[in-house]
Amino acid sequence: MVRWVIQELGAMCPSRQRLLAWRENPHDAHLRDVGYHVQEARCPICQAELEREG
Amino acid sequence: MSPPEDQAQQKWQRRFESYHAELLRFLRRAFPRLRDEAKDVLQDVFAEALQRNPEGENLRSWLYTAVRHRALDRLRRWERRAFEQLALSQGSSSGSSRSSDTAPAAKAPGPSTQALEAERRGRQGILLSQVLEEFVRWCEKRPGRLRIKEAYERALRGEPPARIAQAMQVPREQIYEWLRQARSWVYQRIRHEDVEGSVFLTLHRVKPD
Ligand SMILES: [Zn+2]
Repeated sequence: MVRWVIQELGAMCPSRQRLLAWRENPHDAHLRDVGYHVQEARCPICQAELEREG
Repeated sequence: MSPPEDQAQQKWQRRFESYHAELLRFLRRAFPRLRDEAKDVLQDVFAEALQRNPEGENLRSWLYTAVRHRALDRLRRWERRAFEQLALSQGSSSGSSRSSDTAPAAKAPGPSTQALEAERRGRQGILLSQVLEEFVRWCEKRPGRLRIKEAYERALRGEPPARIAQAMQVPREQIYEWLRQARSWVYQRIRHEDVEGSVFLTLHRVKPD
C-alpha cells in the first residue's frame, strides 16, 4: 500500500515549483531530495511532468 | 442551450482540442493505470473548464493541474471501491463457508475478520496519501527539513538506514534522528484519525538494517 500511495498517487512528490527549479539547477543542494525522487526513485508522475514542460 | 452558452462551449471546445493530444500523452505516461480511462478524465476536466471558465489564468497550466487532480480522484475512488468490493465479497463468502463444515478449522483469520481488514485498508490508503502529502508540504516550508523528507522517502521505499546513510553521506545516527522526526510528525498528524494505529503500523514496519 505504501508503494501504491507513493508511486501512483504521488504522495511524496515535490511541489511543481521545486520540480521545475531542480531541472534548472540539478546540483542545488536544496533540491537534492527532488533529484533523488526523480532520478533514483524514478517517480513516473514527476517524469511525465518534466517531459511535458520540456 | 441558449446561444451565448452555446458559443462559450464551442470556444472552450476549440481551445481544449488544441491541448487534447498532449494532455492525453501526459495522462497516460503519468498514470498508466488510467490508460483506458484517460479520455474520460479529460472529459471531466473539460466540463470543469466550462463551468469555471479560467480565463485570466494560464490555461495550459490550469489544464495540467486539473488533469492531475481528476486523475488522482479517480485512482482514489477506484481503490476505495476495490476495497469495498473485497470487503463485501469476503463478507458474503462467510455465509457459504458456514454451510461447509468439512474444512478443518484453519489458522487463517475468519471471513468477517478479513472483511474488516479490507475495509480498514481502504481507509488506510486514503489517510496515508493525505498525511504524506501534508508531510511533504511541511518539509518544503523550511530548507532544513528537506533532508528529513529525502531520508523518510528512501525509508518508505524500502532502503535500510545503513544504505540511506551511505547515499546521503551522513552518519547512520543522523538518519535514525531524521526518521524519528518524520515518524513523530506523521504520528502527531494521524493519531486522532487513525484510531487503531493501523496506518502508522503499515508505514513503519521495522525494516532490517
Ligand atoms: Zn513525483
